[in-house]
Amino acid sequence: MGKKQQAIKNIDLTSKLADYIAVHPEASKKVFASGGSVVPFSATDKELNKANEELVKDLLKEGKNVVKAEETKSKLEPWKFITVPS
Amino acid sequence: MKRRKRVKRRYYSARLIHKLIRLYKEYVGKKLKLIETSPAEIYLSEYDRITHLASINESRKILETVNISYEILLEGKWITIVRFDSHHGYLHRHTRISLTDEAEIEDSVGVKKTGSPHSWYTWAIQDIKRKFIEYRTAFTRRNKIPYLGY
Repeated sequence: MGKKQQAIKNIDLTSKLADYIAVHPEASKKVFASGGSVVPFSATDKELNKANEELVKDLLKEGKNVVKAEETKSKLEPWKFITVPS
Repeated sequence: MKRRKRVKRRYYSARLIHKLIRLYKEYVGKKLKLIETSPAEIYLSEYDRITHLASINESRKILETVNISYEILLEGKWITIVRFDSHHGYLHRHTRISLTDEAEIEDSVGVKKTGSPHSWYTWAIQDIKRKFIEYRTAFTRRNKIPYLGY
């Protein structure tokens, strides 16, 4: 997957994440308080997730705190936030 | 002879007035307790990211869109090419022109002016979603960088 294609798909996920964060204060606590690098993960696009896993590895190598924002299929909890151990 | 309708006057008790003043003071006090979050970076690719910084209150509600910026990696450095903030009480955009000069052009053309900080926050992300290729193309073209910097 090209970097441009990855960016287009990730920004689509980011806008969904922003809509969720704006409405759910507990999510903003997890994202904002982390002060780290957030990488979104799709509920359906495996190719994008593979590219994003590589991105997570690169960020960890740079010594950054990484939080995975995983989109889920659940309506009750559409996003899960996982802190990746360095 | 027509009888005039009697106007009923309402009187508020001193106790009620004091209660309203106390509630107002509490509200203002709560509103001023702002927490500025640490910057969070959302990575779009190895060469693109969005950084956001917001002021939130104690209940974690976004009260001010402090900074939402679109950054690109060029020559090993992260460069903010467009950013939105609402420091002056309304949302506006800062656009960087040159790679060598950090000066920015400030404008609010086509930027959402009404609404709450919540809606500004989502609007700014939506704008970057719609136009990030456009912003990137314009910046790389101005600075004569080939292939959009990818």
